[in-house]
Amino acid sequence: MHVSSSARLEVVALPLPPHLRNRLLATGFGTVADLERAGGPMGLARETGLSPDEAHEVLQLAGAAGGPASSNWRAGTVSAADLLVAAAATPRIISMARDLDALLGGGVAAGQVTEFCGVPGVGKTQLGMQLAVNVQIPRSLSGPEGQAVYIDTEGSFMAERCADIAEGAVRHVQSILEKKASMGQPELLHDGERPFTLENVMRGIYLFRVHDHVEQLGLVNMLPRFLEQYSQVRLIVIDSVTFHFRQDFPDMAQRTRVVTGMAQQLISLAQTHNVAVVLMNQVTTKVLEGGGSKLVPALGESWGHAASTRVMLTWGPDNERHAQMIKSPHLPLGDAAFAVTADGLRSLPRRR
Amino acid sequence: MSLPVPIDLTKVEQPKSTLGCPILDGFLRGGFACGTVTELTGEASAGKTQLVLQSLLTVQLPEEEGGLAGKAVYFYTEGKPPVDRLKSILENRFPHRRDVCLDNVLVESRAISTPEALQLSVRVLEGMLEKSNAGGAGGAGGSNTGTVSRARGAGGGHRTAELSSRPIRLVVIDSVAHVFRDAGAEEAGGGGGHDQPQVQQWHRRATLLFTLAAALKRLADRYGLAVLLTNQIMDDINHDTGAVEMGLPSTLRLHQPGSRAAPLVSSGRRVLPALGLAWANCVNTRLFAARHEGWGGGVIRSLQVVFAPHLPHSYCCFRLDVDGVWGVDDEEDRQQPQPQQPPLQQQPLQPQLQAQQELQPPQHRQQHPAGQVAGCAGAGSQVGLCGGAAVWQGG
Repeated sequence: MHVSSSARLEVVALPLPPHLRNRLLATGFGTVADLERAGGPMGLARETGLSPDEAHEVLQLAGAAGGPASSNWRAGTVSAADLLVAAAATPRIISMARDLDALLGGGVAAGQVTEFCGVPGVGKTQLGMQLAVNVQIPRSLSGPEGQAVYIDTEGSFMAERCADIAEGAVRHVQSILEKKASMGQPELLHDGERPFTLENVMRGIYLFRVHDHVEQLGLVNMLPRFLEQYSQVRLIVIDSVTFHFRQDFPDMAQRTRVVTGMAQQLISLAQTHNVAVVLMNQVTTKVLEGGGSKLVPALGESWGHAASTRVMLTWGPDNERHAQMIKSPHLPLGDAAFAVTADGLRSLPRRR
Repeated sequence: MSLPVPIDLTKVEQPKSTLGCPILDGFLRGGFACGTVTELTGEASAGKTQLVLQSLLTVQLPEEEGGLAGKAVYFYTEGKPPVDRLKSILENRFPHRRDVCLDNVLVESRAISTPEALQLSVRVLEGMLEKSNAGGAGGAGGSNTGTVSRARGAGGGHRTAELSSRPIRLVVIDSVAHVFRDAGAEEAGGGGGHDQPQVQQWHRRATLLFTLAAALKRLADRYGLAVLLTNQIMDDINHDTGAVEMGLPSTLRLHQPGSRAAPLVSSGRRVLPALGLAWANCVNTRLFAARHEGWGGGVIRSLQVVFAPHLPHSYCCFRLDVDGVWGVDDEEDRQQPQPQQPPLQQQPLQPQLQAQQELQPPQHRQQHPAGQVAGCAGAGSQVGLCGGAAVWQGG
């Protein structure tokens, strides 16, 4: 029987919500091959106690959705399931704030568009810079070992602050390596691995500054070619995607068309190049019928389809930063607190 | 078409426009950042204009003294520019200096009372920059070549040249709120015109603000300018201030680093920056100047970071004198008790998830450098730790 190369893929590498992943691991499903032998969604549900829907979702993500095609993959073609597995094989980009990463299913995923919205000062740029650093974490530490394109539309990307965050990450990675070494696990450098140093991290962020929406659209147009040349890029951040579209526009219908076109390009870019696209969005006050108002993501209703995952960053009643999942294809909606420290994003101390 | 060329982050330097005071510069990590827009908000008597006037002079200081050896452009929108006060600061702070002078402060002579007039002035400014800063490295035009390398070229190398050949490095608009107060109703006041629904007025004003901000940011990046804008405040009608305190508000003093910025309090009132949320999206850094009644009739002034991409939530006290503004090392506040540190709990690693989890750094620990809890750290202290916050504000 032909065993696909993805069959040995570990379950931990699948973009599963933590509770599903834990259940699978606890019931002995360690690899995708184990899942393929489970006997379809119903079999998997029986063995693990998951609901049939959950089991179906797991198998879909594992590329073994139980149909006849999955057990008889044809050489030379790429199935949608294969693509999913490829995406899953690209490690997620962690934020270094544990709860936020759990909310995101382990970090920001490659192959899709993730949007973070929030008021000024809540940490959008800090998160963007943190991800641009963390996408470079070496493979020997289960990182994506990629590089980042950072499109700064507002002028808030500050190299000195990015260097602070990079230094914090380098220090942290160093301490893990030292701990591993002291536990008798010698550092296994992959062939040709870039050392995770401040200088390399700063070199691994391709920063662009755009001054109006024409420049922004032009740059987005050029990204596919840029990615062909810079194949290490695993993350694209646009901070913010909004700023140049809130200025004088001849008519709003035109703005909607332009913005929708850009969204399509970014979605297709994420999929064809298997990169994570992260968009920072502003929020705006929406006046509710019958009085009152609330904060909603800017750029209107149709823009809501641009990102498959949408997270709102807010100040919680506890005066801490919170991330709220407001849209996701398969992750539970939830809330996670995080902090911005001198070293970058971190999780908050647990309360008793 | 050739591929766009990214900015080389290993070569980027982002100069700052100094305030000429080690304490304030330490607090601001060197001064107002070039290439970005900094907003200074606060009530009329808080000291905004003093800070602004001083920076018009200190931007002229040579690089050895932390300056940019540049010129400044000053748009004053609230009537007659306070040139007398500027002259007085100059004479008292920089007596007998030829490299700091009023000739290097270009004051807009046209009256600016409407958004359209301000837009026109910004266009005129662009023409001036093209001429005055043309000697900068790489020249004007072309995007994505990086703020700073060009800015450096503009600043360095010309020190022996005539003063008139100095590049413009600081642009101040004092105040933006005054220009825009009639362009759309205030969100809190609600008293707009009658012929237009209020929502449309907000929208129109927001569009004008975003357009202005984009123009200023483009010039800031292209010519390595520090752009400083002042803004007014309005009462925060949703929050009761509670008892009026003497001295620095306890909310500011006891603020937990990392948490949401302490509420803005000035003269015992809870306030908000004018121009609303749309405008807040337009500035890179927001600073809040406030005054508080001190014991014995004195006045305590504070400068607070509300948000900034490169600065933690923090504050610094300052005083006004005949020679301008000086940061204050506040002895009294240093003796405030330190907030308790929450206990740090070790998370046991789950073996199955180790690969992902071991990358997770330890949880954030509230950091309080000793002796800097709420005081304004002295001149020699670590940059950015003023106000005791080792925790950063997101931008």
